[in-house]
Amino acid sequence: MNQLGGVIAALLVAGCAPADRSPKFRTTGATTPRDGGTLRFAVKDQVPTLDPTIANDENALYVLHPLFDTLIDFAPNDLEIVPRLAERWSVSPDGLLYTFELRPGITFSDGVPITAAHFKYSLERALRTADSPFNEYLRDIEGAHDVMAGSAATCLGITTPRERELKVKLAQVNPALLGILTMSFATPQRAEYVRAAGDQLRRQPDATGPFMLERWDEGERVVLKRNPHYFDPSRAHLDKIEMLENVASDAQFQMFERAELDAAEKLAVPDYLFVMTEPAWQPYVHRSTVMNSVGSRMNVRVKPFDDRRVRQALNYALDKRHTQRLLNGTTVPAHGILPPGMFGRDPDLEPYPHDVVKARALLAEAGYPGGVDVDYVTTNDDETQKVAESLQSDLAEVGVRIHLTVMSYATWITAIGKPSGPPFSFMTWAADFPDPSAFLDPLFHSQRDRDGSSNNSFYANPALDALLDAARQEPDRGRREALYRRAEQILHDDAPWIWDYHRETTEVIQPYVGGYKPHPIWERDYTSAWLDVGADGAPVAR
Amino acid sequence: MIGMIGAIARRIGWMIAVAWLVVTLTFLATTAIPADPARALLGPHATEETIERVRVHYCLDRGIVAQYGCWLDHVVRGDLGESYRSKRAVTAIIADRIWPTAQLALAALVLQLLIGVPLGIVAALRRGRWPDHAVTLFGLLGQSVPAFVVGTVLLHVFAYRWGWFPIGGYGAGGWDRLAHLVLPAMTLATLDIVYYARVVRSELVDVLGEDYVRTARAKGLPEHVVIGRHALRNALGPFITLAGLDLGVLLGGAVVTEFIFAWPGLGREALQAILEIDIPLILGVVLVSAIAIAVANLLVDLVALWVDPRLRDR
Amino acid sequence: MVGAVLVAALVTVAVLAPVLSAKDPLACDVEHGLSALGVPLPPSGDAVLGTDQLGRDVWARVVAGAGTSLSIAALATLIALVIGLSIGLLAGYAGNAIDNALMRLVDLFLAFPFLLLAILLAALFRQADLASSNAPVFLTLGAVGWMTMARMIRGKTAVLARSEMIMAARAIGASPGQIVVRHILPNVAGTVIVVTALGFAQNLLAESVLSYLGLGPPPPAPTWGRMLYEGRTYFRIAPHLVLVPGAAILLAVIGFNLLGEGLRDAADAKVQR
Repeated sequence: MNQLGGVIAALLVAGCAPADRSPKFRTTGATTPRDGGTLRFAVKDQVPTLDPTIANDENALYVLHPLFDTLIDFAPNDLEIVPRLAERWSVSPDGLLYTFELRPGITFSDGVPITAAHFKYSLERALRTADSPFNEYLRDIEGAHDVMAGSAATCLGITTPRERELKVKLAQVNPALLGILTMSFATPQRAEYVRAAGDQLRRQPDATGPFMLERWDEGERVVLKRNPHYFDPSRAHLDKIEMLENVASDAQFQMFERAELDAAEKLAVPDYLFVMTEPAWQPYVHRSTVMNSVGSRMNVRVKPFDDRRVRQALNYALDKRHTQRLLNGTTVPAHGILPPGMFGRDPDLEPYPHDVVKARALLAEAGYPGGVDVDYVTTNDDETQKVAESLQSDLAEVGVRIHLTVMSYATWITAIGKPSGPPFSFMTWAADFPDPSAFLDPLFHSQRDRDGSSNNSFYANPALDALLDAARQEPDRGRREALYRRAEQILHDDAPWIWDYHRETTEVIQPYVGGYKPHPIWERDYTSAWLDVGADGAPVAR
Repeated sequence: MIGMIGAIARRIGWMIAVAWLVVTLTFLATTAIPADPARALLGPHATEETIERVRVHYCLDRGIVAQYGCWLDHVVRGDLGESYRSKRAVTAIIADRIWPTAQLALAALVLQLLIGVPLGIVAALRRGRWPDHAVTLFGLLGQSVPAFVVGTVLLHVFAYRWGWFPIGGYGAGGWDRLAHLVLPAMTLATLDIVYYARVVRSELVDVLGEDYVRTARAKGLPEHVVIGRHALRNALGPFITLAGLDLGVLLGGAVVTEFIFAWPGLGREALQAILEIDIPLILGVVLVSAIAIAVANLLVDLVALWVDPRLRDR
Repeated sequence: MVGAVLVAALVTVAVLAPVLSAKDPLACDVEHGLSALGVPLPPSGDAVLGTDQLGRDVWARVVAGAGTSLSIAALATLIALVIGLSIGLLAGYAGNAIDNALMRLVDLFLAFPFLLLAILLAALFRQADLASSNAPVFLTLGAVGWMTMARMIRGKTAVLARSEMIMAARAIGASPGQIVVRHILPNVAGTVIVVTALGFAQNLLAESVLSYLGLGPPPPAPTWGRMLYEGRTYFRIAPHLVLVPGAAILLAVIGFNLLGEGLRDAADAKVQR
């Protein structure tokens, strides 16, 4: 009985004492990558499919990039385009013809050689598949429209004059094409494989990258293993990469602290604050700006948002410092839609300052001296609700009284796309590829308002349209940049959105994870990471 | 005997009808939600053309009746359609999720019995004194605290702080699975332990006052023989009713618990499906849950009929 | 009777809320109510129970929340009561075919997995113009909670309907309406009250569960369930955000449960006599 009492007492003491939360392991100081080991990380949701033609969510991205190689890729640390499966490429002077020369010795994970025809098949598959979100991006290719409409089986603009030569002919200039072709859907695919796999294709990816799929327990974990046939063995060091699904953020960090995970991201507030203030973890924390923009969008055809002065007043009324503090300093105030680091962004353009007096004056000028009542819709997310409540408070100060409604993501995204839907709502945009046209065109070009609902401000400005159209076709980088800067200026002044912030993400890794930094596009890409462990394969204790 | 079979046949028939009605009502409810699954599926970057093509592919461009017909078409052919989100066969998803939920429900039930019965016995034997009140208090607390608070606290203390159990997840078979099962099962069990304890207590209290118990005591039979043989047998009836209903409810999806512990069960799948308006998956899960509950109710009724013949003529 | 005391205290707090706290439960104060890094402030002289993640005063919110949480639970219980009582009385009194049909309806609703039904309904009700009010929440809870009441009332009514007193009343020529009102209602009143009290507790809990899943009342409503939902991610650095509304819910639910149990014991004692 006494012994039991002693044990219980010891446990209680251990439980109540402040735990030591510094890293349990350290680096060995090795400078050359060591082969072997499994890297484990987790995500909050689950992966719906591993079919690259369809997979579009960010969780899938983390495993798609190690699984699938494409013609070209982004350099490990920036946005420069480097060769991958293509050895070299050229663009014709008029910007309409792209020629890719494939590297010799490239194969699928089972050893079958990759040829140009496989790329052609893959791109056509994207065009043909109804629910591929990527066929949009290929619409400038000659003949793409016919394939999408179903009136042609193959795409005229994609040709394979030789076994290792791929030519892509555009109907109009698109400077973003190279960025588009880095995306996983452009990986080579085999018709026979796709046909044979049938509806199991989503679980049996035809890998072409440094890793292949070992197993997928759906909703639980995805396990990748090294591809022995990969042409560049120096690119990958790990034996396996394991991604756990459906693990909540705080559970992730708890597992990370116990070294059951090797990396943790999207930290809950307490964990984020801990990691930022604990010196022992500082060297292993990575902050990066993702290509996004967040704010509130307004339907500029509906009162009171049809008056530019009202829209500007709302921009003056929002205190962006509030948002910054609410989000624990992980944001950068926005002056427009293009995030920092994006080509075409005007770094000298100032965000709207917080100016209650000016806001009230503008409202009075526009005919709302007593303020106005409006509805605001936001999504079912902790952060967005918090920011919305703060917005409500800020706007109330200038007499704009908001009535808040919370919707699930699916309902929200349907509702805001309709001209008759809620005219004032939360809005966020992240681009699929790093080009200003991926931000500005879908959101603010009047063409897109007819085509679909991505321009959910229903903003139509011929001057802006002209700038965007010209910029899309402009081959000269300097001139292109100037055009986009003018576009930014117009949008800033016209304010179809309340510009609020760009979000940073924070990832913390174990000390023994080497060769890794979050990528601006691929984010958590562990393809070239390695484990800095001792000779026995275990991490070295601190 | 024929009456019994007739009664059973009627019950089964009604069970099927109920399951059908439940699914149909759910279907109507999902069509009333003004969210476009195709738009939600494809994300904000997709154009109206693409969305329209997807809607046609999934029968979403037609009227309610036609959509229902589309779904019925699948059911008749023995499948429940594909999940909009993952394109995976709904039957496959449900097959994957049903065993984890069943394990959780069974484990919770076992815990409720293991803890509830002894507590009930103690409360009855020490009736009116502090153990009785303690049990009542404990039961009251268990009923009054939301499941997610219990779950979060258990996870924080026993998994994170003291490291006795893993921090959520399913585990890999055998002892590992058991280790992963303890905390979520305990979370689920807390709510209803008190009902079992109460049933045992009240039956015991009744029986302990009966003549034959006093006779048995006078004869010098040990206490536990007396209790075991008579009192618990009487408690069996209400017990089975409770357990059966409980099981049905638990199988319906312990959404919150599965969410907190990352348990890959039906409840969590259902929650995600509803939020994403993944109609085939919603309908599939609701159908399975409704059948599970109906079957549980049916079994309970049958056992009750068998145990207490007085109920047979209705 | 501890239960009665607790309940009375809660109702008093709810009613006196504006008096009990000078601060506005809806007033965000990001500049002064949060630390530089956005952490809610712990209890201090200025804010007795600390501030929440938007800098609002927690004491003000929990006190205002009493009114909102209790009224949502009350409305939900009322809806469940009205539906359950009507169906139960009708089924028990009319008997036979009607009874069968209505009980089948109850079975049907019981066949829905509770939480799934609640989630689906909550999602559904949010679509109407009601979306930015609390209506979807109590409508959902009411629609999901009437079955127990219906069953219990029906059981009691069925027994009463066959009793000699009722036969006599019918013989005299009293109309069914009169019989129900004068003879049956008073006798089922006891059961109704007990089930209502217990149902109230259930609805309080259910509101917090719905809120936890993000389907509760919309912001900036200070219901306790919503406070739990908003505060849960801050648990490790600002535990008061969870402990305060959690304690409030606990006290309220225990209060109503005790009240219900107490009433039931009293009713049982009466019957046994």
